[in-house]
Amino acid sequence: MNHEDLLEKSIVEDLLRIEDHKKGFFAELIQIYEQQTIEGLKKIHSLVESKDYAIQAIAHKLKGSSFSMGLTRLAKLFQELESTNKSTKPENFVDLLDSAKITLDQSLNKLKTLIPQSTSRHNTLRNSIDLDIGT
Amino acid sequence: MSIDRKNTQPAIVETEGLYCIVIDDDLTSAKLIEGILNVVVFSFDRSSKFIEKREQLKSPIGIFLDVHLAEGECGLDELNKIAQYWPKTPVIVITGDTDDEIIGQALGGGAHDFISKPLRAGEVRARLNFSRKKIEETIDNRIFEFADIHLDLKYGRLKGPKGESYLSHTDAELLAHFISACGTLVSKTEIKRYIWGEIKISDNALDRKIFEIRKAVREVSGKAEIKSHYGKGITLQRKSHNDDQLILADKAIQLVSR
Repeated sequence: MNHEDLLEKSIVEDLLRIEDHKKGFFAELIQIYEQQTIEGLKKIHSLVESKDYAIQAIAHKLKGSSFSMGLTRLAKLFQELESTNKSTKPENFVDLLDSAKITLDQSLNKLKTLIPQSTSRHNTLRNSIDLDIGT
Repeated sequence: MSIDRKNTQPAIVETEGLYCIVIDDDLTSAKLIEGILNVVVFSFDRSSKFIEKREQLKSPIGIFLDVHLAEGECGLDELNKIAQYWPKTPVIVITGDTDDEIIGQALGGGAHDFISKPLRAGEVRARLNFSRKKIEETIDNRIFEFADIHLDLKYGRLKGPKGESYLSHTDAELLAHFISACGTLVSKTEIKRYIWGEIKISDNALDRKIFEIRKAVREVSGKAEIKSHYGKGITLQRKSHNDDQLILADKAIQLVSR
């Protein structure tokens, strides 16, 4: 798998620079992005049948946040989803959504490897605490 | 873990010092701007929510307003109103569109600048700094006009057909605020917060200020008057009802250089 265009290097470097003066920033940002994107994809999935206009609005938002996170390949998939319309075939929606889900996984995995180690441990610990509370 | 906007943003009472407002349904924008500018960010997913809370907020260092908001709201619809809340605060429109028309609408609607996604750290800082500098440079050179009066904010000079007088800096700012309201009602609470911020000012002290400004306007103008509306606030308006029809034609104008 070619990861070349998964991430826009200069944007990710910018984000990591912020981490220098704001510890934990990068991990928190990823967490917010991940949750927002998963929720957005679920919403789009639920709207595919109706081809609701909301699909384009959600895709637009996810496109913007993905570009800002430096996730170029994923952002372009959301851009394609944003360009869909009433005449788009349901199978094309499904294909795009599947590609978006796979690319999201790949992108997040890649991003998470860049989380500075101390923050990553802290975040893992916090997630496990949240999970404990949630169960 | 659930990201709840209500729980991730600071309480309004904690917005002491430098802070920014981000109006965007994309939560990553608020987080990014917070990190890039290293300031507290107060975020709203719709402009209507921000407008509801606005009275409780003091002036931020910048407002970042997205075009596409939650519940189908368009940021540009309330842009003009938002841009007038704090004249010294730049409003920067965020857009994920490359459409020139949207950028034109944003700048024409009162935005000081715009920024396209992806939000890049250097660009966010530069756009905000540049807008703030531009406001600072122009604010001292501001000329305000209403009916037959002409106010030079830099020198506090108020001119009209009947003569001219000089106002204190605070009185001039207050009158400029009335002029910017374009004939609409300005509440006493809003006047106090706009001019004095956190400093507590009694109603009597404010009434004295308004008395002085009213007197100055009466001395130079034949057409404009300051009117108190008991329990509601103050308006600067035209004396004649017919002249009121012209209120929309009055605008506070900025002259960059004199």
